Amino acid sequence: MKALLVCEQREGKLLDTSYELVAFAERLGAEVSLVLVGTPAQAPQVAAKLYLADVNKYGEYSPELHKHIVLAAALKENPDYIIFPHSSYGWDLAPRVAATLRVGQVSEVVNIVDGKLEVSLCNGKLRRTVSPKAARAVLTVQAGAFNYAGQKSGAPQVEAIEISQGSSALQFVGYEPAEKKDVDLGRAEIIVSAGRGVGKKENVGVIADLAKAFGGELGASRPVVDAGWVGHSHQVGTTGQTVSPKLYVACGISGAIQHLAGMKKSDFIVAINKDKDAPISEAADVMVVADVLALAPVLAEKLRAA
Amino acid sequence: MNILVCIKQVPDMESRFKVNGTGDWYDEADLAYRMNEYDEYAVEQAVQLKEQLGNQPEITVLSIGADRVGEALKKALAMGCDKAVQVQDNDSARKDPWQIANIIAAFAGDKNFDVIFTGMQSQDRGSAQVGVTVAEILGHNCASTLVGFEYADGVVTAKRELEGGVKSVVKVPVPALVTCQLGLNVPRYPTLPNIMKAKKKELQLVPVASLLKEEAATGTEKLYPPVKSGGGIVLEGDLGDIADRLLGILKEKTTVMK
Amino acid sequence: MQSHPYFMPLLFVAVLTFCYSCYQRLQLVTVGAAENRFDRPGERLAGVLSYAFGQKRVLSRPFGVNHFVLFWAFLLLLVANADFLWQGLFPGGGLSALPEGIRHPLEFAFDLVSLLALVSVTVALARRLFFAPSYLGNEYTKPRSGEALLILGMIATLMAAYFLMNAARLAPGEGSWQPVSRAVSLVMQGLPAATLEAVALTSWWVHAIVLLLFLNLLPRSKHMHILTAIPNCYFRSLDHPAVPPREEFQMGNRFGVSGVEQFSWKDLLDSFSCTECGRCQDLCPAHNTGKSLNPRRVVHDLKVNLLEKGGKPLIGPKEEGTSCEEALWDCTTCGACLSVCPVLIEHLPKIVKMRRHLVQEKARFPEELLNLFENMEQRSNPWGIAPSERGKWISVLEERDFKPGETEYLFFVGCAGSFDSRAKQTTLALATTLDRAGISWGILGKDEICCGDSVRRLGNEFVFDKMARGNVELFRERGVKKIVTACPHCFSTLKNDYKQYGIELEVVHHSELIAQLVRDGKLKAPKKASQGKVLFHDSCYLGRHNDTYTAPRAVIEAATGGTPGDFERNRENGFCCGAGGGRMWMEEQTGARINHERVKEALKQEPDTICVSCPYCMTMLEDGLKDQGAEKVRVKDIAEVMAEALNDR
Repeated sequence: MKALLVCEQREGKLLDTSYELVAFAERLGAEVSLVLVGTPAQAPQVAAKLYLADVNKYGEYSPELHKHIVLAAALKENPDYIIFPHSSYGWDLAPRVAATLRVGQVSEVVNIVDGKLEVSLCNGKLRRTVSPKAARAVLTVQAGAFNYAGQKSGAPQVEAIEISQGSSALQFVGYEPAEKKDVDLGRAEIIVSAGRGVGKKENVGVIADLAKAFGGELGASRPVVDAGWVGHSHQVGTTGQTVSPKLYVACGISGAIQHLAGMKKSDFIVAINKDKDAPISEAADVMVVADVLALAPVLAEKLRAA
Repeated sequence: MNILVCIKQVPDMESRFKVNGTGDWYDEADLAYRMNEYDEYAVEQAVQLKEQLGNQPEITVLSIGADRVGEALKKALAMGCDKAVQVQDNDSARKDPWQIANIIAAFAGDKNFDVIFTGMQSQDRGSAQVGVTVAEILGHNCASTLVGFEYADGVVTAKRELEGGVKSVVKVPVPALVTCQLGLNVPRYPTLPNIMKAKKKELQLVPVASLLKEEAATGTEKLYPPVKSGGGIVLEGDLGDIADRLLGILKEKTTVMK
Repeated sequence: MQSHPYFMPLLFVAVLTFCYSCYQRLQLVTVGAAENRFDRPGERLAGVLSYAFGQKRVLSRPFGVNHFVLFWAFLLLLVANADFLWQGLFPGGGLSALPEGIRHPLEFAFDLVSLLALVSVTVALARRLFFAPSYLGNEYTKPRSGEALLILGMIATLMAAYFLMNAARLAPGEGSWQPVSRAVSLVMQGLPAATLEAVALTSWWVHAIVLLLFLNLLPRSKHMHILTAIPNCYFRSLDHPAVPPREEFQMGNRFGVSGVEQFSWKDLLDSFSCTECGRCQDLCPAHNTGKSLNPRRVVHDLKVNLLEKGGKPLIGPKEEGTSCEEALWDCTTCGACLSVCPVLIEHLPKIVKMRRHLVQEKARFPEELLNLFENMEQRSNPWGIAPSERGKWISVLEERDFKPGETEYLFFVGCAGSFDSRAKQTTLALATTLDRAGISWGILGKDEICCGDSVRRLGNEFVFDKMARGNVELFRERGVKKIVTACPHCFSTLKNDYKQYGIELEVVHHSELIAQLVRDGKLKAPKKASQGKVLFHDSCYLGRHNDTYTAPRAVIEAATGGTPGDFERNRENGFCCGAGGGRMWMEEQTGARINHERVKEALKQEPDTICVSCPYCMTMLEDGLKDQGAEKVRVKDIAEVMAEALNDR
């Protein structure tokens, strides 16, 4: 079985998802080749064939041209699977390749179960195995689902790739850096929220620090906002923001229904509370019975050490 | 100007889903349906574009499915679309994204739509394929995952959302297809007079067989509930020990710990 | 004595301009939409007797008696003044032509009543000048407003002129039937006859001119109420005044109210009946906590807008004649304004009608409500929890589906009772209490949908209509006749609002049912469960909206063996928790928190337990107590208190 992995770079940096594709291909047991629109300096450190197209020539975002580059590489490799990361780059490009080749695409593979591709359905409430009808298929792989454990020290065999199509109707103007907004809970992947249980304003810093250690945003329940300990933009709940991060850590939040309604869509919920039977326990995937003010610094330290 | 918005009706994600008898899809009984959230942003953006152009463009809203999709179409009409098309298909759940895209493309083929709006993905399947594939089949320019949309003189200036809050700005000449991300705008709450008016707007019925000529490219093998993630794990005891166990669980069960 | 030649034309002009002013205003009232307020005349007359002639609500406040005296003095002096004008035209006619046996008692009465009127006017003046309560004033009027002082001054002048005129005409030794006038005449004794004649004539003219001026000032001032208050009482809402009318959802209809002409004629009449007494303002929880809303102002702005013939927007920037949106959203629909207004003005339905316009025609509402509306439409509960979870609480008991023809009571659990973990404890407490009494009850489980209270009060009538029709249909299908609910909002909505859908249900609030079971001896709590010092907080939708004050108190008494204490503001004067009218789902951005106010009021009495009978009150008071650092004070539903007492057995 052969897999062509479509790596991605942004602003001169190879993205880590490229390595996750390698891990995924290993799980598939496929023979790997890679394609990248970038520069030699960004080449993934993997001992495999790498088709490299010059980003300066074909552009950071020019899906029409990138599609032809992938197709050119595919023509040479004749892979069974053409695999993209399920990212803003991958889900934009993959369907173009699949449609041109008239092959099926399986999006956001999260696992391989008995050799079948597993994807999630209905916000993860269901899972399903999907199989392409033809021998060749395009796949996109969920970010973070497959960890690359190998060394990033292999030497790729680079082969430059050129295409004849020279221009694209789309014109890439440039990047806009992430807004330095106070906080954007709606888009956060990790939210660590402080509740009344933190006791006083001075203690919110402990939770904020934990949020930072997680690489997430600081949220808060309504009483904490009402008391003026943090700004309203941090409020999670019916009168604040409804959030759905991948990880929600509720610190000292008892779980009034107004709060639960605002965060119950989170993929994974950890509650840290002294009261084992606090209503939040109904929603939590993991209930940690502890004094959050004592646990948070320990947890933050371990996160930083990891 | 001609505008097309493609919307999907999806089950309420709050529902308790059950696997159906044949084990290849969810049981549709007892489910409440609503417009796919991403598509609400698509409808809103289409209506805003129409308003920007002095209400001159005509917006067609299309949905594929059983008669219940009429409800979603009515909402889109109430939000400001002009006419609705229901591609009648009682088995739309079994159509894969490739087929859905081909149905839409077959409908749109000869109608000269200048701008086509779709949601970035559906809440149930989440494949994020259909919009881009439609553009590819029609040969339209396409930008996906929009969190910003401006239109002037035949060019859409799109702001795409990338990971980590970074945005990429792209100019897309029409005919163009854009897929809309949550947060692109604030979908309006339809006013009651507009809900009333929507009842009188045209609803065109098109049998799916007249548009679909493609076989499915992928198929569902089996559907099942996920292995329960954490589910009632309670951690108690020594703080250092709790922290280690918690981090272990997070590494195993979530995708955010690296 | 002859009629003065100038008097007749003067009177003619004065009466004509008075009639024209009245016509102008009544014409404005007819701008309003049709509404049937002519049914059940007997009931209406009875209301007029008690509210207008009996001054029932006026008397509920100190100084109300002052108005009572003035009101009755006015009625009697109406006869005297009609006679005065008649005799101005035809001297020697009118009452003076009556035989002494009738004339003397009348003169006696007029004399005495005029004195009473003078005294009460003086008291009223003194009150406005020296010890005015704060609620008399607000941002657009002050207790010492020129208009108020002018009117009071005019009345005083009329009385003074009356006495002087009579006194000057009394011959020495005359006037035993007019003791006050006679006392004045004693002061004037010894004045030359010509002087006396001059005094009499001057007083007569002063009285005549002030009277005619007064007549013309009436329709052009807040004293229009003298003319409209009695009809306003007659045309009052005989049904539940807080239940707004249904709307017809048809193409081309307008929804809600954005201009005076969309109000009903009675709404417009209300605006002319307001005397600016300020009692509504005094009780309003929003006004009391520094928010934009002042119910008195809503009515005042309506009048100003009407007088300017809609030249201003009815809803818009905050200025006289226009209600601002923020004020309309501030209302908790607690009904304090409705229950206190002496002339039965219906403030609350006007606010709901204007909200309807904002929500349904403009889709303009505080952003938090978008989520609420969508959750209600899609999942029939305010939090957007899956409907399938609704019956989950019952899993700790055995299944209890309502069975048509078998089950007696439908337990309409409501959204809070089904989903909110705190309110679920009340639900369980009630369930076990009903079981203990051997009551046959059942639930609808996942088929139950929200009663629609919040969306209706918020003006989203279209969504309410769908929900109400859904529930009514379900009740009919299942043959539901009797309903018990632990939420006053469900209770009032099912009981009062659903009547508009042609279904007659026997709806009881759990406080009533439990109290009844206690009375019937079906529930006995032999070992009383002490809750320490208990205060009972009246829920607006149980108390004011449904006049149920004693049942919850009786339940507490039966369970604890002691009479619960009252808040300073209780029963009809109770103070809202802040959650009604959809406020539960909105941010409280301006002013003090209503729940904090209420909690502070409780803490003054240092209670151990605050008893409630509503899940919203439960949330608001618990939150308020936590915010005030008084978590040690428990908040309990009356059902919980009863269940505890029963378990002590």
